[in-house]
Amino acid sequence: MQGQASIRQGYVAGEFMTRTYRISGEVEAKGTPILDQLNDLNALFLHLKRMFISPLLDPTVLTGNFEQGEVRKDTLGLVVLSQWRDGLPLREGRYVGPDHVDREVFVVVSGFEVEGAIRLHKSVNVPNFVRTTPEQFIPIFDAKATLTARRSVVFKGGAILVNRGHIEVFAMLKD
Amino acid sequence: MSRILVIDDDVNLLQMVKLMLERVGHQVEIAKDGMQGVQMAADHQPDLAIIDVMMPGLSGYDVVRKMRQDPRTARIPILILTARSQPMDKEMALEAGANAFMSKPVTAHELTERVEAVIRAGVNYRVHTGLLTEPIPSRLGRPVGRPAADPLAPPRQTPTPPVSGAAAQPTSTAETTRTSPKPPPRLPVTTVISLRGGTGCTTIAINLAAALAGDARRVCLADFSAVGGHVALYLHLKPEHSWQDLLSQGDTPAVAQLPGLLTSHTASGLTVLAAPPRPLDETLSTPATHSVLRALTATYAPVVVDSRQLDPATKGALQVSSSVVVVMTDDPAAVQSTSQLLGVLAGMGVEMGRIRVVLNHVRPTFDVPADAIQKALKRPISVDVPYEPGQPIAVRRGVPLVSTKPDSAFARSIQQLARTVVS
Repeated sequence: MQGQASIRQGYVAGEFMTRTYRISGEVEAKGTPILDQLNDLNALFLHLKRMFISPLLDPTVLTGNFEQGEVRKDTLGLVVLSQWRDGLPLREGRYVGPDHVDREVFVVVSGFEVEGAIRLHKSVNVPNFVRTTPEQFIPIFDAKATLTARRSVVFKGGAILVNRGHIEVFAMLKD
Repeated sequence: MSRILVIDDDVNLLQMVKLMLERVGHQVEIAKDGMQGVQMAADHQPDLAIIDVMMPGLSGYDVVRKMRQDPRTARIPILILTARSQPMDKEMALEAGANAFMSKPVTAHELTERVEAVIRAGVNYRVHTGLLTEPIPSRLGRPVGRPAADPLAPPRQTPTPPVSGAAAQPTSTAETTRTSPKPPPRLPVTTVISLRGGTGCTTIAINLAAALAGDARRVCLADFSAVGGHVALYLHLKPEHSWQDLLSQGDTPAVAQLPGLLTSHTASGLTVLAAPPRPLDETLSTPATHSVLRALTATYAPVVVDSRQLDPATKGALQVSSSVVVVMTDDPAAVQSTSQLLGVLAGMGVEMGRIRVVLNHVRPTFDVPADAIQKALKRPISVDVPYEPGQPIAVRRGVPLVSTKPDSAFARSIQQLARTVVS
C-alpha cells in the first residue's frame, strides 16, 4: 500500500461490480495479490470479508451486509482498487518496469465505460496483448469507470481490473 | 487532549484507531455498532465521532443522520472513515451531515492530523483532504443542538458512562441542555484574549485585524478593555468617543449611534471602536455587547475584539464569537493562566473547535518548550508567533507590523492565524 502503515495489514478493500450490484469487500491478499486470485483458473469464487452490497443504480444505499461471502469471479465485470499497487500481480514485471509506458485506453465492459492507462513494456502491442493474454483480468491504471445507464455513477481507482470476458469494446485513445 | 468516540464493527480496526489516537494524547471510547454509537454519543458528548460507513444494522450514514437530529449530539463534529472511497460516498457522507471523510487505509499521521483539524474547525465546517476547510453554509449562524452554557453557570461536569445493561438515564448534562436558554447566534467575531499581562494580546489583536483587513475585508477592531485599552495608543489614534458613551443606555444601547463612535486608521484600513481613555469599574453588559456586535457585523466582517479580562462584555463577545484566540507566552505563569482560562472557557460553553491557542514569543530567549506547553494544556498550539525585534518600532510608528514588514516571520505567522480564524 505504497509503503503506508495501513490500518489493516494484508487486506485489500475493493469494489466488485457485477451487472447489477456494487459489492464492497476486503480480500486477504497476503502472499497472493488480488489480481492473481482473480486469474486463478482453479477457483470459481473469490472469498470476500466484510461484504456490503448496493444496487448499481443506487450505489450508496446498503442493501445487504455479511461478515464474509463468495463472489463468482466470472460474473464480475470489473474490480475497482484505490491504490494502483494493489492491482499488480505477484510477478510485477509484466506491468512495472523502467521501459514500461502508459497507453491510454477506452473499454466498454459490463455496462461501464472505463478510461485509463494500460502499463506494459514499450515493445508490446496493446491490442494484441488484450486479445491473446491468457489472463482473465487485466489492470487499467489511474482509471475511471462511468456507468452508461446512469452517468452520475462514477468509480475512480488507482487500478481497475477489467474482466476480459465481459469486454464489449476496446480501443486505444492514442497510439 | 480530546474525547473521541470511534464507531466501527471491525474490532481490529477499532483497536488500531484507538491506539493511533491514544498515542497522541486523545481519550478514545469505542462502540461496536451504530445503535451503541448513537447512544454513547448522546450520553458522553465526545469532542469528535469517527464513524465507519459499512456496519451491520445502522449504517454509518444512518448514524450520522440520527446524531444530527438529536439536539444532544447535533453539534458533535463527525469524521467518516470508510473503505468505500468513491466520490459518491464522500458526497453522501457530507450530505448526511459529516464534517470530514477519509478513506481507508490511512496512516496514523494522516488520521491524527485530520482529527485535530476537524476538532479545531468545529461542527460548522467541512475539512477536506489537505486540511482545506470550508464553512457549511446551512449551519453558519444557526447553532443547533447543544447550546452554549450560561456563562455564569459552573463548569460542565463530564457525564458518567451509563451502567452496563441498565437503561440509559438522561444525564445531568442532557437535562441542562433541554432547559438552557437558546444561545445567541454566532457572528463573524474573533475575540482575542489573555488574562495575563505582557503576552502581547493587543499586538496580536491589532496585527490579526490588519492582516484580515489586508485581504480586502472591512474589519472593525473593538477594544473591550475597561482598564485603559491600548489599541488607540498602539495605532496613534486619538478617538473622541468610545464604547463608554453607550454605558448609560444599559442593556439596549442605541446602535444607530455606533458609527459616530468609530475611528478610522488610514494606514491599516482598520475601523476602531476604542476603549475609554481612563480605567472604569464598569463595562458594557452582556446583552448590550450582543447588540453592539450584531450592529457592527452588519457592516464589518469580521470584528476583532481585544479583551484582557472576563467581564460581562467579554462574556458577551465570547458567546457570539465564531473563533476565540487565546494568547500566551512561554513562561510558566502564562502557561498556568492559559490552562485556567481554557477551563473557564470550557465551562462557559466555548467549544474547543472555536479556540485557537497562540504562543507569542515576546522575548528573544526561550522558556518552557512548546511540546511541554501542549502537554500541560492538553491541546495543540495553533500558531507559534516568533519574537520580532521590530515590534517596539512598529508601536512608535503607530502602524501594525503586518503592514510594514509583510514578509517577516512574525507577519507570516499572523497571516497563518488569520487563515485559521476565517476558515
